[in-house]
This record gives sequence, structure tokens and C-alpha cells, in this order.
Amino acid sequence: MDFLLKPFQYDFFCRAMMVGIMVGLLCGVMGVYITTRRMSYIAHGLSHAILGGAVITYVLGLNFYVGSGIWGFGAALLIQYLTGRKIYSDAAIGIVTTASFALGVAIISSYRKFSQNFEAALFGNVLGVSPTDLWVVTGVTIVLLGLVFIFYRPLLFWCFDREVAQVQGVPVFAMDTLFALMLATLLVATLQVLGVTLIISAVVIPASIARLLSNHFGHMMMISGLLGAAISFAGIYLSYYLDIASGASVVLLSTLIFGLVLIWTRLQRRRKRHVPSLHPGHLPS
Amino acid sequence: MKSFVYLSLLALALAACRATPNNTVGSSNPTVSMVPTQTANSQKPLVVTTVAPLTNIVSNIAGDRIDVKGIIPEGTDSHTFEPRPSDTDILSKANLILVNGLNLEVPTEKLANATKPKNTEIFEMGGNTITQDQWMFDFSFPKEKGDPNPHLWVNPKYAEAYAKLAAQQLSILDPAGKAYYEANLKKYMQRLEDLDNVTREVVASIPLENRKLLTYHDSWAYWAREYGFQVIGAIQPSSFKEPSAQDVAKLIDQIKKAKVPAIFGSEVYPSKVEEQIALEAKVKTANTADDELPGDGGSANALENTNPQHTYIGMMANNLRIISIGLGGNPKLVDKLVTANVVGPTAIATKSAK
Amino acid sequence: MEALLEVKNLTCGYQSDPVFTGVNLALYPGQLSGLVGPSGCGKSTLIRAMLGLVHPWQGEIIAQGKRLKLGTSPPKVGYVPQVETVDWNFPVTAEEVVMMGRYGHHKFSPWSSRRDRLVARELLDRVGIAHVAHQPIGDLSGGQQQRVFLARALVGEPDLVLLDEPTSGSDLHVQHELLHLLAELSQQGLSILLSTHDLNSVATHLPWVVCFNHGLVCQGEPAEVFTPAILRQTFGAEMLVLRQAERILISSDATTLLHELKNNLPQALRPNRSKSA
Repeated sequence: MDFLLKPFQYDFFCRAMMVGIMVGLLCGVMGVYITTRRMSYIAHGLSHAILGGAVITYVLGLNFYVGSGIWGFGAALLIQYLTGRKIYSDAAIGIVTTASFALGVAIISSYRKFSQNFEAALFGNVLGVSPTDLWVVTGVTIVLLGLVFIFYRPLLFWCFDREVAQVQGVPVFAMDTLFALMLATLLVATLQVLGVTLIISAVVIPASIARLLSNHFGHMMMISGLLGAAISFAGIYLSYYLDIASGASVVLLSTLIFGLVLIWTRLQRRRKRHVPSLHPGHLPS
Repeated sequence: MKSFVYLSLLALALAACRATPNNTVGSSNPTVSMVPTQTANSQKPLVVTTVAPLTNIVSNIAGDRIDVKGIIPEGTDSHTFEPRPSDTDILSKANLILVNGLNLEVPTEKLANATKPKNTEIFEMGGNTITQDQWMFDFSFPKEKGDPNPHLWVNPKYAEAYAKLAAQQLSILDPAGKAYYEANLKKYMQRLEDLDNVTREVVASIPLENRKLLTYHDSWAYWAREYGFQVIGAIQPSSFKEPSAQDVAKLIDQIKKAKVPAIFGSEVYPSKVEEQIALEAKVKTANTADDELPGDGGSANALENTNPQHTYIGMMANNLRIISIGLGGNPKLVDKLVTANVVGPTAIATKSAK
Repeated sequence: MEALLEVKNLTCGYQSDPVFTGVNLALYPGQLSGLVGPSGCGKSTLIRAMLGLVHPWQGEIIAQGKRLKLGTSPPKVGYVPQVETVDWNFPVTAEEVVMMGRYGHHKFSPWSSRRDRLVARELLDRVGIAHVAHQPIGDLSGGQQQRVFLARALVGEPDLVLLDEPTSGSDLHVQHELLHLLAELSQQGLSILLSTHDLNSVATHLPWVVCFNHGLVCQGEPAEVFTPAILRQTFGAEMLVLRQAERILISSDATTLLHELKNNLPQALRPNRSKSA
């Protein structure tokens, strides 16, 4: 038993766990909106765009959360605007987000005195979570979950059918802005835990697993959130014993679970199929 | 999604292009800067160095007879530093290239090999200072990986060896200046001797049980060996990545067991993990430097430098202060050390520290 | 009688060329009208412009006497979009979709009220899909999906409903049921505008038609409006019109006309065939 509890003796590990669980929960819940709105590509691009913001924030000497948050929010709005036009929207998004990312890289390479950990930005460093970070993530979790709860009905309508939602009284532009803000906040707060390259998996995979298991939006959200939290917990825990990077451990575990659930649901579906017997005298229905 | 893939591939291709050296620059001027120029010629020979401490040491010997240019900017990670196109230009004109070697600056050395003029030599200071049996392997540079710890210059005794080698190489390049270089060497050696003496005093002032070092990046191996310190660990694993959860747990245990009062990070590797380790192990943390010279607005090149703190000796003096504060020694012992260069604007008459 | 929704001199487009110009149209309470025209003539755009979903280049939209601001939608209007525009993979059931339409009734509560559920169920019953209320929308047939949307539009208790091609892709039987339902609703006071390019199954059965082709051609009762001249202007082709008692049949060639004649025969006049399910 001691062996199993050993990592929890360490403060850094407990903090990593708590942040990881909250991030997993949040990304799972928000991921349902992102996957059902077919925004996964946008979210991925946005996480790269935020890197540009983070770099500029550093160069200007601003607070990381504030500066990156504003930049990320701006990028999210720009992307919302571009998505409104149906023509070549994915290319436009690709340009905006890679340009922002490249701006970050260019500044890093030319600023020469850049001394922030680029690698942590890419892959996350949940082990370096300070007590302040823990408070920030806790605050963000409470706020975002609160917003999801309060605006559940309009966000659902907006997500499913934006045009009819507008006609039936949902303030869709406000929802656009709200969601952009929520997404930017989510990414900035979780950037440190999973890093730019891995965030997308936390957002997409638990929601995708939940989709396999449920047809109800509300249920999906609950399953996705809990699953995200549980996978984070297990992933970080396993990373200790397997001695591998925590972020990667979480991603690999979630992919594994996705694969298993996919296979299981396929088998279930096959079992449920019943072919009507062609008995003479019966007309096929 | 497809366009995103294409754009990324394009970005990758562009980055790869940037990394490969521009061969046309080097090969298109076969006659320029091949033969060591005479001092009568208005063009001074160009010696290219890498990290700032190296640049500083070499420029102290070279004085105003030779142009010394260091291409790795201060405070950059020399192990992964990728030179820019403007560096290619400098390398293609070099008469001599002095590097630390021992795989400290692999990308830079590769570029140097590709762009330097044919007759220009690349001389490895580190490789010529110690023999293979003197190589040290440790936490960041484990024996299994084959590469020894390259941070020789942190040890003032090896810095002295570097200064001697510099004088030797510069004399070969410019025989007419040999006496000049020897004179500079003598002055500089005096300063380095003073540094060595002060170091021993500072070490003596630190309680025996505190003479242990746990740093982020393992750059203190040779210094520790010289002055009787024990390097108990390094936070950065040998792959230069972030440490894993188990690594962090082990380090915390180690720090607690060793009962050191402080651990030391580096500004080159700002690390949140290091902060959390220090927080949990309840030790102080401060940053030392091994390739960044202290003080603003100075230059590693002695001839251009106006800040007397901004030198190799200044860097080591700062380190001694930080280490002694952290481990319970007397930082004031460092104050009497003259950190200025022996040539250039900051040069003053050498006074012995004694 | 004041118009529920009116457009004056409306011109709309997406890129450089306008899709329609100078449209003047008013919709009155209790009116059931069809917006008739060929594919791509701007019917969908007109409907979406009236709903505030497309910014007009010129002209104005007046809802309940007030000028509609850009980017807003007229109040108490329902919209049934084309079936193709919806994401059928979305994880919601028929009932949940209908309940979305109740948003306008209490905007600040995160959950639906009991009355919401009651009204939703009533409507599902009314449109004839109560038995599939708990099924995910992806499992429904085309006709059922259409009716889910109609129920959603109606659940908000609107005064006017705009439907975009509600009968396309459905078989005749489903179409007729829908038209019956719409007729009932209009008799109860609801104003309805539906667009269609199908003349014989739909347009000729409606009490009022608006002929449209990148602009308003003509509007009136089918008997007045469906003349070869107007049809030529609307559809850009020569059409044959056959009037038989209360019915009008239209086609561009005689063979098809005869075919339509057979198809449109009332039940009693059909040759004997086994009943299809």
C-alpha cells in the first residue's frame, strides 16, 4: 500500500495531480462544445496561436496569464469571424494560427536573450506547478464551469443551430464572444499543464469517447468531464511509476481508452443487429 | 485540415533551410583571409570564439592586435544554440576558430566546419587541456552517453590553461605579436591566480557539511573536483528535457538527505520545476552562471567592454558570492577581487589580491 | 390589417452580384403563402434576409411596425431551415431539439421548466412524431426530421413561420400531411410562408403564391398567377397549364403533364392497386 501511496508524499506531485484533474475535467466539458461544433482544428490552431501571445507577453514584460489571455481571446475572435465565411475558412484559420505561432518562434530566435523554457511551452510541465498556478487553475475551473451551467441552454442552441438560435432569441453574437473568451481562458490556463502540442488531445479525446457512449448532450458533458479528470489522474499517477513525461502519459492513456471504447461499442452494435429471418409466409417488413 | 498540414510542412522546410549553412559564402572566396596577415596590414586577423567566458579570456590575451568575435550570445544555451546567417558571414572570414570542444557547441562547430576558409583551424580548448582520463561524467553528462562534462572554464585552474593555450595559438597565428601576448598573459594569469586564492578562502569559510552542490545544469563538476565540493545531483536530466516525476521525487529526497541549505539554478534554464523542488525541500534557490557575464551593457570582448564586472572573473566572483551566501560562507571575501580585464577600457594596473 | 413582416425595396447578395433586387413583400396574419421559383433564384436568401440572417445591401425590413436593426431577428417568428443544413450527428433527441425552441420564454434559467416539457410534448404529438421523441435525431427519417424542426419553430408560440423547402426530398404522402398540418395552423391564425420549387404537389395547393426569380415577379392566387406568361418569367421555360375543376397542373412538356395528371388523381379515381404501407 505504501508503494502505491508513495508519490503523494510529495507536495509537487499532489499539486500536479490536483491541477491535472481540474484541467482534465475542464477540457472534457469544453471539449464537448468543441467537438460537436467541429471546432477541433480551430482549438488546435488556437493553442499554437497562443504561443505567439505568450512570447510577446514575455518580451513586453507583462503578466503571462493576462497577456496571453488577451492575445488568445483576440485570436479566438478572429477565428470566429473567419469561420463565419464559408469559403476557404480552414486555410484562413491555418494561416492566422501558424503565423502567430511562427511569430513566437521568430521572436524567440531573434531576441537571443529569451530565457523561458520553450520546451515546457510545447509539451507542458505539470510538475512545475506552483501554489499560485494551482489557485489560478482552481479559479478558472470554478468560473468556466459556472458559465457552462448558467448559459447551458443558450450555448446548446447556439452550438447546434446558430441561425435558428438567433431567430428564436438567443444572443448569438454574445455567445460567440463568450465562447471565444471561455476557450481562450481554458487554453491559457491549461497551457502549462499539457503544452501547446498536447492540449488538443485533452479537449478532443474524452469528448469523443463520451460521444461513443451517449446520445444526449448533457450526459456527454458529464461523462466527458469525469473521464477527462479520471484519465488525468491515472495518467499522471502512471507517469510516476513508468518514469515518463506526465503530459505524454495522459495523452497515451486517453488514446488507449478511446481505442478500447471504440472496439467495445462496435462489438455491441454488431451483437444488437438482428437480421429478420426470411420465413416463407412472412413478408419482409 | 489538409492546408494546415501543408503549411506546417512548408514551415518545417523553411526552418530546415535556415539551419543548413550557406556553402556559397565560404567557397566563393578562396584567397581572402587564408594566410595570417601581417600587422603592417590594416586588417587585423579575426579569431572567432563561442561562449562569452571563452571570448573574454581570449580577448584578454589578444588585446588590440587581433579582432575577437564570440558568436554564441550570452545567456543562451550553448548546447543547442543554432547560429544565424550573420554568423556564417563571420565564420567565413575567420583566421582561427577557438572553441571549447568536448561537444559543448556541436551545432556551432558543424557550421564552422562548413563555412570556414580552408586553411583556418578549429582549435578545441577543452580537448587540449585535459586528457581523456581526466574527463568527468555526472548526472547531466552520464558515462553511458559518452560525452563528458564540457564545462572546464568554470574551474579557474583550467581557465589558466585556456589563457595559456590562447597565447600559444595567437602566437602561431601572429608570430610578430608573441611578446605582446606573453605580456598580456602574465598580467591575466595574475588575475586568475587571485581568483583561485579567493576561491579557496571562500570555500574555507563554508562549513564542511555544506560543501555540496545541487544545480539545475551540471556545470560545476570540474570546479567541485578542484575545490573539494561534492556534486550531489543535477535537476536537468541528460536528455536536456524536463525531469520526470520520479526524477523530481528523487531529487527532493536527495536534497533533504544531504541537508544542503541551498540549490542553484541557472538563468539559461529558467525552471518552474526547480522552484517547486526548492519549495518542497525547503531550501533556498539562487541562480549562478557559467556562460553569462554579469552586469548590463558590457561586452565579452575585453576591448569593447566598459563594465569592469562584465568579465569571466566577474562572473566567477558573482558565483562565489551566491554560493557562499547560500551555503553559509562569507561573501565579503570576494570584494577584494579585481574583476576588470587586463586590456581595453577597464584595464587598470594589476594589483595582487594579497 | 398590419403586416407582421414586411420588406421594402430589398436587395441582397453575397459577393459582387446581388441575388435579388428591389423586393417588396408583406406577410399578414393567418396567411398561408408559397414562395415559388426555380432553384437558385434567391428564395432561401430572401427568407434568411427576412429573418435577419443576411445583411441586406439596400432596403429595409419592418417587423411589427418597427424597422429591424442589422444583425437582429424579428421577434415571434419561427424558422424551419432546409434539412441539409443541420448536423445530424449532433447528440440530441427529438424532444431536446424541440425544447430548445422554448429558450425565449425564460432566458435566465439553466434548465427547462415543466411547462416547457408539456408544450413540447403536445407539439410533438400534434406533428405526429411523439413516438420518436426520445430518439437521437440522426435516427429519424427525412420527414420526421422536418417535423422536429417545425415543432421547434412552433414551440416558441410565434406569429409567423418561415419554412425553406420543407417538402424537398419527401415523398408525396409526407408532403401532403405536412401541407394539411400547415393549412390547419394557418386557419388557427398562424402566418406561414414556405418556399418551394415544386409546382404541382405544393404550389398549386396553396391559397396564395409569390412568384420569385431574383426578384418579385408576381403574387396572387394560383388560378390568377399560374399563367404561361408569368410562369415563363419565373421559370424561364415554356410551361403548359392544365386546369381541371379546382386543380391546376403545370409542366414543361405534355408527357410529364399526363404523368402528373395520373399522380394527382384523387384516391377514388386511382386504378386498383394493393395498398402500400
